[in-house]
Amino acid sequence: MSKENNTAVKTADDIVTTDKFAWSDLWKKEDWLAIWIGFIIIAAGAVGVITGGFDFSAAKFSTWGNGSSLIEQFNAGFLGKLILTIAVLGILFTAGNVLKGVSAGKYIPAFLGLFVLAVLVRLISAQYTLNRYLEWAFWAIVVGLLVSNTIGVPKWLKPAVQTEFYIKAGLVIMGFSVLFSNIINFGLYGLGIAWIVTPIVIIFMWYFGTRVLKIDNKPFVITIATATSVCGTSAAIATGAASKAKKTDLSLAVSISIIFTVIMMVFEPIIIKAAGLGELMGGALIGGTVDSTGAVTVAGTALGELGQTTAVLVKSIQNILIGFIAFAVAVFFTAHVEKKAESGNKVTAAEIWYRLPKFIIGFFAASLLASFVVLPAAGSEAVSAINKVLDQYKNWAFVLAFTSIGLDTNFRELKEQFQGGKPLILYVVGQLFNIVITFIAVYILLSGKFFPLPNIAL
Amino acid sequence: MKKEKKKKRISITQIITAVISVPTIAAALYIMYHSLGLSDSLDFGAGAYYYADIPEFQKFVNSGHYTSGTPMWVLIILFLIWGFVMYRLWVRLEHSSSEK
Repeated sequence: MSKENNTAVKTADDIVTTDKFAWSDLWKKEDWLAIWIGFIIIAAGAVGVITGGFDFSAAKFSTWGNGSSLIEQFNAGFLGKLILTIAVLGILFTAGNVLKGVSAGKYIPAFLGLFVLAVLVRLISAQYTLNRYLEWAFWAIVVGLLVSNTIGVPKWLKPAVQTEFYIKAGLVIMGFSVLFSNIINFGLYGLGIAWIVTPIVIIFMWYFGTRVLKIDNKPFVITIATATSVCGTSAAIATGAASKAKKTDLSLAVSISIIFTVIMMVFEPIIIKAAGLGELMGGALIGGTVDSTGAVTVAGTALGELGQTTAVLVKSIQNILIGFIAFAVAVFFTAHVEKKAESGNKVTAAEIWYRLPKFIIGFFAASLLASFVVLPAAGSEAVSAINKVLDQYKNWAFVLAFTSIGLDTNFRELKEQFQGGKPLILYVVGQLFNIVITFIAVYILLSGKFFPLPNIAL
Repeated sequence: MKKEKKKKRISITQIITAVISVPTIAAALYIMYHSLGLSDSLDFGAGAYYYADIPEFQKFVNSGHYTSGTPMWVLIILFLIWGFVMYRLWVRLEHSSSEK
């Protein structure tokens, strides 16, 4: 088997498997079921907020430690929301599994067991220090790995270990928070910094990863590239699913990104201040290079109010790229990677459609619905309030997914996936390239030497 | 019969990996232990996600900090053109690599 064929072979580790379209796919295939689950949650959240008739919010642990008690938050209100969360996700995913042909009798106890682990993950990641540095995705992988590599995954829990299903549903929900209208937030300046640079970095990392480092696992390369150049974990999840990356690809890419985000959040503002770059240029550089939105906000704040605002404006534009890049990755892998590996023949448009991971359509549809229907009709405050509700469901779905990844992985697999450190070198070289190119864009657009400085209201 | 001892060769990749990863992990642990880089005015950190975890996230993105003189449709067209150009470049790069 050729090396390239490795990327195309459908294995149990594939995030997505697709087939020729049939109408029954709409209620039997995982991609479509994930779309329906995502849209049911979006609809319930939107109706609840817009009518004010009911509170659809999912449970969220408050930060504990550093003087705040863990026990205090277990009040009636929290427990009510926790029950609502279990009920909503449990019913929807059970229905989805029944339609896929999985026995409800086996899935329900397994889901409850997985949910208990997810609660443990969110409890750990709500701890004051851990919460401020490491995302819950990291702790979900750690908890899952600890269970699977010590006591082992009990047989009864295995029916719920369905990484792909939870990721796809979570991504459709996430689509609603990707507001395309944010493209106007920083005009041509934002477009120049966030959009000119990002594809250049992705293509550079693709070339460096596949040609220089000779990493055969192409979905892994693109997952690391987008995590580096777009927005860390969210981008890795979206493109990992779009390129049919393996679970270990995703867990390694996310772990590398999370660790380096801690470093960049702390050191980038220090270096920017030492270099005398100023808040406007420094904030834009942070917004374009630091991976997670939370870290961007914190690092930008270290520069000052203008630094914070500029950093978040650039990041908010970068965040809208996720859907487009995931779509481009899905089409690219379908048309130019998988097909080439299988036969070398040119792929037709119809075939691209058959093989395209369909949840991407749900992600896009949710984004367009929020940007061009709900936002103009209900206003930005209503969309923000809806997203506050939906984001928690998305987080729970992703925690279930990452815990499943941990449960389904052993340390030996992770070590093999590390390939002597090539992914780490890819990330570091890509991130350095990202910083250099973003700095050039920032200097051209915001130094005042080539274009007038933007007037930013604080 | 002599037993041949297999010597494990350490590659340059592994050396670079060790040089990068050991100080990185040590620095991350040091940062976390000493709570460095956080802001007292913000009740979150790097682990926060958008609307769910960042309090009043909408104030960062919805409050009209900048008024663009360029209409949205122009921005969207530029966005799509650049995306298409970059996609074609990516495809060309991929095919040129396989031809070689």
